[in-house]
Amino acid sequence: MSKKMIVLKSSEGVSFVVEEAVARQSKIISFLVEEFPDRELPLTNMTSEILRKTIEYCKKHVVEDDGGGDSSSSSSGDLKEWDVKFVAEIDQPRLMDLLMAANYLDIPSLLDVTCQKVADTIAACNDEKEIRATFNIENDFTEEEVEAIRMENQYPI
Amino acid sequence: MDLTKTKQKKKAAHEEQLPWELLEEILSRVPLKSLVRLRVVCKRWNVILDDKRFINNHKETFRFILKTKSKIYSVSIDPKIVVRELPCDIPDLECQIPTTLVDCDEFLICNMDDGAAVWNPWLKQSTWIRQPRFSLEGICYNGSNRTSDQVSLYKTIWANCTEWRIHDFAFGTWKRSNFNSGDSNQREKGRRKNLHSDMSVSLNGSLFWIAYVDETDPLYLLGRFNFSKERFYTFCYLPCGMSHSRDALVLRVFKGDRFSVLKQCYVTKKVEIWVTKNKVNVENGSDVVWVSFMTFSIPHFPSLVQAEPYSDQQPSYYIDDKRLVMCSCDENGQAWIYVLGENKLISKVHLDSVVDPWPSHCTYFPSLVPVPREKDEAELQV
Repeated sequence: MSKKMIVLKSSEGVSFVVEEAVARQSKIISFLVEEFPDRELPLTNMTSEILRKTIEYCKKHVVEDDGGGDSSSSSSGDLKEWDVKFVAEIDQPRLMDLLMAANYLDIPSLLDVTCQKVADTIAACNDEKEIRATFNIENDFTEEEVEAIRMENQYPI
Repeated sequence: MDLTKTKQKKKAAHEEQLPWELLEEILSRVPLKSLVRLRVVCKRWNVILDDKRFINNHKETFRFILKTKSKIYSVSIDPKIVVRELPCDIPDLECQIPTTLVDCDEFLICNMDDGAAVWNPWLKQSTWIRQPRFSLEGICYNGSNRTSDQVSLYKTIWANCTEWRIHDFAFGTWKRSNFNSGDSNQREKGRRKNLHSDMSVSLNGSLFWIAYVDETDPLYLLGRFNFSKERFYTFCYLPCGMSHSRDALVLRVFKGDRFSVLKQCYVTKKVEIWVTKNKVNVENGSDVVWVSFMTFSIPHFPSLVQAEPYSDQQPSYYIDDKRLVMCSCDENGQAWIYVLGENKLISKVHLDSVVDPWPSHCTYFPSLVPVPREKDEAELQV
């Protein structure tokens, strides 16, 4: 495999030199590399921190995917474990940024793990107040509306 | 060649409102048991949870239900076929397996020896209605739209060999119905109709059955039970009849407001699907036009209806865009999922985790619609 390098530039103007195979996990970058070879790609809505995280994820996945053809089941299990650890170490606001980045760069596997992590966080909240606080959501219901929804959906035991 | 236009004083991504499709992606991964309480987070989330498309794309959604003597299973189809055991946690049934399990609209109807339960497996809600020696044939919503005040506007219809009864959820009342034909035109009046199968199909507040006067009729008909008149009417003719006792003939709702009919000819094994050309007006079946929608002549395709004593079990199916997805048992009682499209068999998968032979099966698309309940006496007196 050729070790062609490409340059990605964050919103702060920091350049990241990445193997093309690594960056090509993003369908958008893959497309841009073909359209504009030999140019650096400015990602003006991604901070250096998020771009670094995204590249870290892509590096890990390209190595595993490239590991001598068929990857054994244990290595795919290891990769899953690595993914879980990877998203567990990120705080909530940055996780949302990473999720948006995965969506924007079109990296389906990263979108999947970040969405799953957010979904698990939602499920782990004790009530709707905790969800609103965690995700900075404004409550646009009146108390009566909330009561009506509860009445309709909750079944008396 | 910026990938985005740079805004001045750009907000970090997490401070902006999440795009709708990403919110759907996230919520479709929230486990079922946590899903319903998300309604009260904000209006946007509540709207998503009301969206059938969202429910149909949820990671834990499924399309078929299978029932053996000891277990109930759900079968997801996309992106791959997954069979899961569905806990039969119907409080009223005390973990018994229902004798029959059929889908009607958003619910599963579980018939037992001395009554039946209306069950929503996703919400883990059920309502038990006691009525020994009758079987629950269908449930129907009688209002124009569902709001919190109208949750009890449901009626159910029950039958045994001699009698029909209607149960009204709003009042907990029972009414006898002789199920006579209410047809007034000369052709249909006085012609006694027989139901092709017990399975009813619910559309816009009415229940429909495939029926016939004589088994050899070239065209079978669609009967409608009108809850307000409590009569059975001939709604329209079907585009086909039965030429062999092992022909398959199944009615389903298509695209939410139309009908589809699947027929398999036992002799040729050809599968044909017709759909109604327009949205069905349940009050008037005279302008129903059937159009041929799909035809499959696949070499060595199996028969979808097996020999006695299993000949009552018709295939279950749904149409997904240009695909036909079917569940059916083979001659050994093993369940299979067939996916057909563009006049060929795309895949056939043996559901080998369903161990007991001859499971009964139905299509069921999960919903978050609460199960109706009888108002208790205190509420009625208010």
